[in-house]
Amino acid sequence: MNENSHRVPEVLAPAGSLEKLKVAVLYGANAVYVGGQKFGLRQASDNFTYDELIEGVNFAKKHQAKVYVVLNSFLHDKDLNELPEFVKFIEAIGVHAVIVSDLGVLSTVKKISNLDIHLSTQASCLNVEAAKLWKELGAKRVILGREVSVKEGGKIKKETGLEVEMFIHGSMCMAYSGNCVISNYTQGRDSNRGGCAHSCRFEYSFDLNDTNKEEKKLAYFMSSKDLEGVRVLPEFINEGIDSVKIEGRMKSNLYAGTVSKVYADALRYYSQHGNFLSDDILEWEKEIRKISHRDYTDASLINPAGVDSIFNERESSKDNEFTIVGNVIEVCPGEFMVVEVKNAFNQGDTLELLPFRGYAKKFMAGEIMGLNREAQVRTKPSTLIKLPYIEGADQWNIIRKQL
Amino acid sequence: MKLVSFIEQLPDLATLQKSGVEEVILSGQDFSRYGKIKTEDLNNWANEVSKLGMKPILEWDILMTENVFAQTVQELKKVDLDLFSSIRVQDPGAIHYVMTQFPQKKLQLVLETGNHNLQGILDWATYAAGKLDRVILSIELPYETLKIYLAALREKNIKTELLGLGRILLFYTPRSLLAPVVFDHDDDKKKTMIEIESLERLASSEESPHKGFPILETKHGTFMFHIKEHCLITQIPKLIEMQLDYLRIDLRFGKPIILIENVANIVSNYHEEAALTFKNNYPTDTLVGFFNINKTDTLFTKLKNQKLQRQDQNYLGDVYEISKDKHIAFMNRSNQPITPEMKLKIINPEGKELLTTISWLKNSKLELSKSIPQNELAVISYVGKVAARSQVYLA
Repeated sequence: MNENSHRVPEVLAPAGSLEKLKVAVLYGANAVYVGGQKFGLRQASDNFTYDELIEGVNFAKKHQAKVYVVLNSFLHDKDLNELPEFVKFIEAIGVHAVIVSDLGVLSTVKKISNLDIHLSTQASCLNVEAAKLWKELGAKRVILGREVSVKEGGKIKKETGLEVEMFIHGSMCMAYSGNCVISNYTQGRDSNRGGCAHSCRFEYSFDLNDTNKEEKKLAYFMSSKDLEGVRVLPEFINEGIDSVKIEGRMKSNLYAGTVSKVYADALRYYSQHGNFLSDDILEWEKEIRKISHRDYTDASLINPAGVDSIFNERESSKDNEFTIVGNVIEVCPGEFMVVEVKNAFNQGDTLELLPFRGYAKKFMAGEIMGLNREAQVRTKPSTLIKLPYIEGADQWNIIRKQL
Repeated sequence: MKLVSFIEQLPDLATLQKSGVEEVILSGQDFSRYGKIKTEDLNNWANEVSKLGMKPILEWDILMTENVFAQTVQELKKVDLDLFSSIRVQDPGAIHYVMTQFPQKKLQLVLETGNHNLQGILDWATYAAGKLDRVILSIELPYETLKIYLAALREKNIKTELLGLGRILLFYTPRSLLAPVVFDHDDDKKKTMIEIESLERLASSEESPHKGFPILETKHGTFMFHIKEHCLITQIPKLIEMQLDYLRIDLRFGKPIILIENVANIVSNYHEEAALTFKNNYPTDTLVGFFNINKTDTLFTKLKNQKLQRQDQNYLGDVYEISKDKHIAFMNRSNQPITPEMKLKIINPEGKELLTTISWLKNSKLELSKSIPQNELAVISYVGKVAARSQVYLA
């Protein structure tokens, strides 16, 4: 049975920087979404310069992956005036599609380019009639709001003929996308142009009793758990969903690599076998829990999200199981790996190298050498060290440590 | 400039009529975010509005997943749309549905979410051409922008509306967020919630110094409002000057309907003192919001260190390691090989530019090298004040 026996959705991963793009693609993402310096919803992300976009697109193409550029901010007029030059540039370098949420942006892109247009979740396309409208206006694909179930997504696909993309993993807003302006008024930061201050994650105090103002209740009532859909993959496949999207352009290499790998491995298995009847599903779920996350929920993928989808606690990193210790940045096969240290570790620590394919490889940090050939007992972040070569190690592999 | 308003009880119609209100928006429980009118009563209410010479508008502003949409259109069948002058829609699905199923009906397009560029608004108007009653614009648009937009829209005979007085919606989710807090998972109380049309409490965030954001839950979800209400009553001369067609006055949520008379008087015969008195006596604190200026993007430059932003021209790579007095190691990211004698400019995270010439060049094995290709480490002599993640450029 060849690898492409069973149709599976593409795994679409976030790439907040050129480095994260490479990590996501190498770990199995079929497509990545990136932002330029302007027009996207993550002003605080590294975002891509023009040269980085060129390099990123070329890298992705070399690995048979696609690049979609986000233009999903609700643009004001002066932003829109600057858009045409950027659109022409990204079309020329071979970007596969743009992700838009604003009709002014959509019509501008359509007028000046032949780029495929994907409608962002920011536009809150939630039903068949809305999808029909956006198809008439020029969208080729709709990225459905996270309130839509996979079954509803399948119906939208069948009745419109549009490509359908749905989120399968990552942080979630409580609000309908595009329908939250809290930080606009409380912080002077436009949440729909990339300045969201995550006001939903704070603790709120409620007056519960009109007569007794002292009776208050504290709750993180607007904070959502993180979406996780490994077990819902069969539904995505059955409904013919075209793309499963991972949220997280602001998140780390460890996140981008781990999550891309899990969903890519799972879908590769299905593509080969036509089912998920494998003990590996437990392994995939374990892997997904090794990265920093809030409690997981399947939110509205099957049924409308209920009270159990609320993350009613303060965020902290206390429950992280693993941490990244570094990225392999150069490999001398048979000899050594050069690792950029992101978090300190000690000689003798048990580490794991996450290969692009296959299970994590546990190894002990035996001999640690600095670039100057000085032996080290404890590494320092933002330095380079050499570790003995691990079979199969490659540039951009993630090395992690259990806490 | 004409007035548009809401009623929550039929006797209020007399007050609206007396005040010269042109249109009455009817918010049904099954179609409106905060609607209180039962679906089976909508036809009757529409008739009552018409009898008094005003135009009844059916509000359909909820956002709907596919399953909810299917249920909602079943309820819509109970409404005689011929009794309504226009249908006010926000979900693109509702827009498409009304245009295709009821092509003779006029639409009022709610463009208050996003739609902050003229191109987009014109595109919506083009899409709904022939069926468009008006566009309802966002309150995030400042005065100078609104002037331009209204002039452009007027040229195309597109009528416009703006919120003049009423709550500012900050957040809308379909999820039930308030009931779990209030009722604390008590089964008996949960049963009561089913019978309650809506639930409202005040909430204060640890983030903001503001206290008391109204949180409302209805069958359509949970809504958070600003503690202050939007009020453009003191800006009426500007609104008239820019030829705004309709001003929406929303006195729901416990405001006395009699206030519409004051508003109507101020609109028809503006006096600044009367406007200020109205504003100061209004039951809730108010703000003009972004009407004067919208600077919600000016803080973006502070969200990241601009000095760490890579410049494309002559870029070679990023510094990974500094070993004081010994070496600097950087990754060659360019397609140009690094060679000895190259003149480099290194920009550190504080923005300081440091110039150096490569006196010796080594690879990651610390072997002298004549050339380091792309994606390999280049090790050169130490340069003071360089830090990790400094950027290396060809000088």
